Amino acid sequence: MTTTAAATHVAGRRPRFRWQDYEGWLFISPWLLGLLLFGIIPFFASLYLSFTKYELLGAPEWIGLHNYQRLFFQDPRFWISLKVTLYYSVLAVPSGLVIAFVLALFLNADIVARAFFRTMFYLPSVTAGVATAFLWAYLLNPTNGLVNTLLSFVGIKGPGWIYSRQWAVPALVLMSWWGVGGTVVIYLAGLQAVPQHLYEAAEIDGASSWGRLLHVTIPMMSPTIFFTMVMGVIGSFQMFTTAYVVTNGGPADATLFYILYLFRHAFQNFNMGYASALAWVLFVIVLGITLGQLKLSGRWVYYEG
Amino acid sequence: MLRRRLDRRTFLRSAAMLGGATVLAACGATPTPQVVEKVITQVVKETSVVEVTKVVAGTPEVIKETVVVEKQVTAAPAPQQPVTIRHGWWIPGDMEWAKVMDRVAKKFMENNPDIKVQIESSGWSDYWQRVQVQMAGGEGMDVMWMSGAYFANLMGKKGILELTPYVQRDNFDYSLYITQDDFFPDGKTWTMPYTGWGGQLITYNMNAFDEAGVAYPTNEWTWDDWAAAAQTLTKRTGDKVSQWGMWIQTGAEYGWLHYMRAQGGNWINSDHTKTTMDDPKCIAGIQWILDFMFKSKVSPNKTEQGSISQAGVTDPFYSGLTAMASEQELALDKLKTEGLPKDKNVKPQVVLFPTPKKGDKRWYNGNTNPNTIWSGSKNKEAAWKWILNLAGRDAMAALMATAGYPLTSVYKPLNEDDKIGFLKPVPGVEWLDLKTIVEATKYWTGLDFHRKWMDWESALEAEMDYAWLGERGAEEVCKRATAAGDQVLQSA
Amino acid sequence: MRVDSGVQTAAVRQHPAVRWRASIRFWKSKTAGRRVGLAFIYAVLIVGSIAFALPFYWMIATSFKTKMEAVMYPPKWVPIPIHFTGYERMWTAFPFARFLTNTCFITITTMIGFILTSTLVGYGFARTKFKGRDALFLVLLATMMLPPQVTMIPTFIIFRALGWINTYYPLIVPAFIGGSAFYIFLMRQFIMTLPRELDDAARIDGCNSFRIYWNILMPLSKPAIATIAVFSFVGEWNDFMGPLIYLQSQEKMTIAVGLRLFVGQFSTDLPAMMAGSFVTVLPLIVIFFLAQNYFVQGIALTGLKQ
Repeated sequence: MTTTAAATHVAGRRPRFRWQDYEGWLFISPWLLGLLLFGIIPFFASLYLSFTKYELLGAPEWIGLHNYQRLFFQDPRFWISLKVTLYYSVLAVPSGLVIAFVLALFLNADIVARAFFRTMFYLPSVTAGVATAFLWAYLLNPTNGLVNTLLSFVGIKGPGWIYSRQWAVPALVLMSWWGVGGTVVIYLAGLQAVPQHLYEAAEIDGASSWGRLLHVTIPMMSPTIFFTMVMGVIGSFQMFTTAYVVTNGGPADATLFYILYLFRHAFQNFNMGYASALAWVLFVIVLGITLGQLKLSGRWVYYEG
Repeated sequence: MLRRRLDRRTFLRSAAMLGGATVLAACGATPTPQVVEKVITQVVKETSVVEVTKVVAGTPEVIKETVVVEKQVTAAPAPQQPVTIRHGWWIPGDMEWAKVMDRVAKKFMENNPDIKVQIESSGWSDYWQRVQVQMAGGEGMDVMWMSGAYFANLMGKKGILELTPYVQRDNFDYSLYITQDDFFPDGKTWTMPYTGWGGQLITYNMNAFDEAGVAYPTNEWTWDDWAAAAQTLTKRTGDKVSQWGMWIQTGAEYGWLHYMRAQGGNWINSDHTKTTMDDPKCIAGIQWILDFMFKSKVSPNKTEQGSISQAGVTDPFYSGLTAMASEQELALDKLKTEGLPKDKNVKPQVVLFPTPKKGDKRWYNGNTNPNTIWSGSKNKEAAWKWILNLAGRDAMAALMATAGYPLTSVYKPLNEDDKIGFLKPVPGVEWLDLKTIVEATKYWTGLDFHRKWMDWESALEAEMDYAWLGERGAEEVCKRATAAGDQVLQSA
Repeated sequence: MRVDSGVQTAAVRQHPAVRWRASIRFWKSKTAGRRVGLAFIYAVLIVGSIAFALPFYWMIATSFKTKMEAVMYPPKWVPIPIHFTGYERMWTAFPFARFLTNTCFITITTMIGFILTSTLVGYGFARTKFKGRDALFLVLLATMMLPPQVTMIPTFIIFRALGWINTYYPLIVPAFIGGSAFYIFLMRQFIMTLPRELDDAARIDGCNSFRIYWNILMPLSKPAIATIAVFSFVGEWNDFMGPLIYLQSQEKMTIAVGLRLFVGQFSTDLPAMMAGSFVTVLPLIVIFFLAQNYFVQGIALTGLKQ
């Protein structure tokens, strides 16, 4: 409530219609309209489906909590896929964001051919997934791949990567680093909005490069960083394509990502009811994590506006 | 606009009509699918000249006959709007297939001006998503190319039209085709043949055998002969292997299932209620593979295979890295379109997969991909005509003539034809014993498809991976796989 | 309201000649630390560029190989002799030019839609106050958390009821009505980094909210808008799921769907697929390169603080 409205309320008069209280609705109306027309029904339809056994022809058959029972108590692969996804998320999100941030800083410096370098780092994000997958398979080849060859130069015997149960997920984390181009672009956009005069003021105050980074760049960038953190977590939980193309869940379910498992139930077993239950469990988990992030964000995210 | 008041009389009248219509419909509805015969308003005699290619059994002769055919055509009430039927399929390998499909469709449309065939291609993995979403949304494709594992599920969920009445009405002769039990549950017909392929053969490098002084494999080979040869053919210096004796595929369909069956076991019982991999015969089959991989070390294990190739065994074989493989159809498509790689020292030849002991039953785990009709199709008759045409001799021959077609035909006469059929020699590899590949199809066995097959099989594969990684022994993985498989079978 | 742009305007500062001279000054400067720092940056960027460009190089190299060579082991890095058969097959496999025009149309219209919706709605969430705003923002985030695989069928049924099957509407309309939660969230965060003093100053001058949005904040948001433009362009260009499910007739299909036809059941025609990917990725690279003009340091905002 704005102060004016509160004031009039206290004064005992009926609050006047303030255009400014409602214009926000107008601005968000495109999204809201879309939500009501195209978003709400499928959203709750999938919730309904999670309580049914879905035949392709004919109505879904209500079976109550049965899908969820099976999911939690009779399906070891549910737990495996959850574990795999969490493991990946914990490794990939922080590492990816840090690498993207460092790259963005470098790519924002006053260097020659900046646009060229930025394009180079964004290339994998537009290159065909199949090409990247094949290339990575070569690079991570346990016997002659580049990665293991480099490791052997420092005396480490490289692991079996995507053919090893222990190293398959780290291998996929490595592959995910090639996709930081998108995050770099977002950080670059955020960096442009950091007011130049703050850097100059800090320099005058005697701050080193490191100090400037810590006290000007990061705080001013915190809304953007927060965005990438939230999206990073959501995105990592939806990891699917690489696991599907490169390892197909193997070896021995070491890369059975949650969405891959869901996909199999939805489109290979044609078990949409069970898949919907899986989807909603994931939804609750991700919602919980995001709410936690939102709550904590009050402490470190600085909004200028 | 006039607003009509719904008065009592109008209401009762329309209710009566509605009720009457419902009663009539209920009377007319029968539990089994019926072919609706169109009313014959005209009988037209149609004369056409057809060139028939007859293969005389036993001789390589091909006789071309010109036959005048008089057909009675039942004409539908004119005028007719052309109906459009949507044909969905995935690209099996080369885009050449797509061109052939277009040609066959064009010819069909010329002969059937009242039917328009719309071919809709997708990539393999996208196809099933498309099928499911469109079917569930009520916009399914009229004709769908089908794969066994998905078939059992779709049929169980009533997505596929039963074809028995059509087959009976038009006297379709299945005896000319290679068929698979999986597609005839309860003796009813649900599919029309189109393509198919199988697995177990040994492909070997003749040059490697010459070099090592080992006699070529024969169709009478036993597993012991095979192991001995593999041993001699494996060239190893210290830790590095420059040539493996044998490359065993680790997937079920063209890999370990065969070994279990060859020993007399199977992975599931006949009514698909219990996984039977803990049978000692199955364990023996798996043990054999593990011996090859970890004891005698004549075959690379899963990690080693991954180190060498990301795309299966085709390239390692043609690079001379393995003397023998059980590669399905040995990438005939690449041989036919690009020829034998010249700078590599590989001369491929095929032989039937050896049996454990002389006289044991032969297996050839195969899978056919037939055509099916969506049960919700609005143009069932037109769709039937189309898939009938696709199973016909002309379409089969056109398929076989595709550049780089790597498979045997499901239409048996074409597999005995060396002018336009499978036995036509492949340029650059004329010595290839194509007859043996055809011979193998005689032992065609299915893959025990059932409604939970995909889920069940992936659970088994996840357990078996431990064996190929060398972490668990044969007995342990088989027992665990059985437990995992049963858990899927028993889940509702 | 004036915005002080400092000694040099941003435009002048970005001129290549000025940057080159600044760079040289850096090198010649006595601050060894700065020199080392810059050298380090260059080293990382050069090595990183090679590493990141590798998949791209491999894609191009493979497009000139034969099918056998494409999966050869050890991998063939240099495609000598060069084969153009991959390109031939790609061009004749499906009506390439037609698919290209379709894709262009869909991509450009959705890009415009996304930019409009995400800026409008993002502004709404960032600057305006209304009851339920924060709750709705949470709803916005929540819509991104449900895996799309399970909403595909109900969404399909809705579009079917509207009669939009086998048209471009299901692909384009949601960009205008609904937008993308991702881009809206991005815009909201970005706008929230812009100081409110700008708004207040404008309001004193008599601007209403829309004028503030259109005349003040949008020009300052060029980097974010450019980001959305690039992302949405690339995303729609490569999107195959929408066309796959909603389109039926061949002549409406898009490039992304066409390229996936090369991934067969038994074998993938790698050279043809890479050839197609290479040709279709070039416009994306050009777009990205051009968008770089908007990723330059914004106008310095001195004179407004405190």
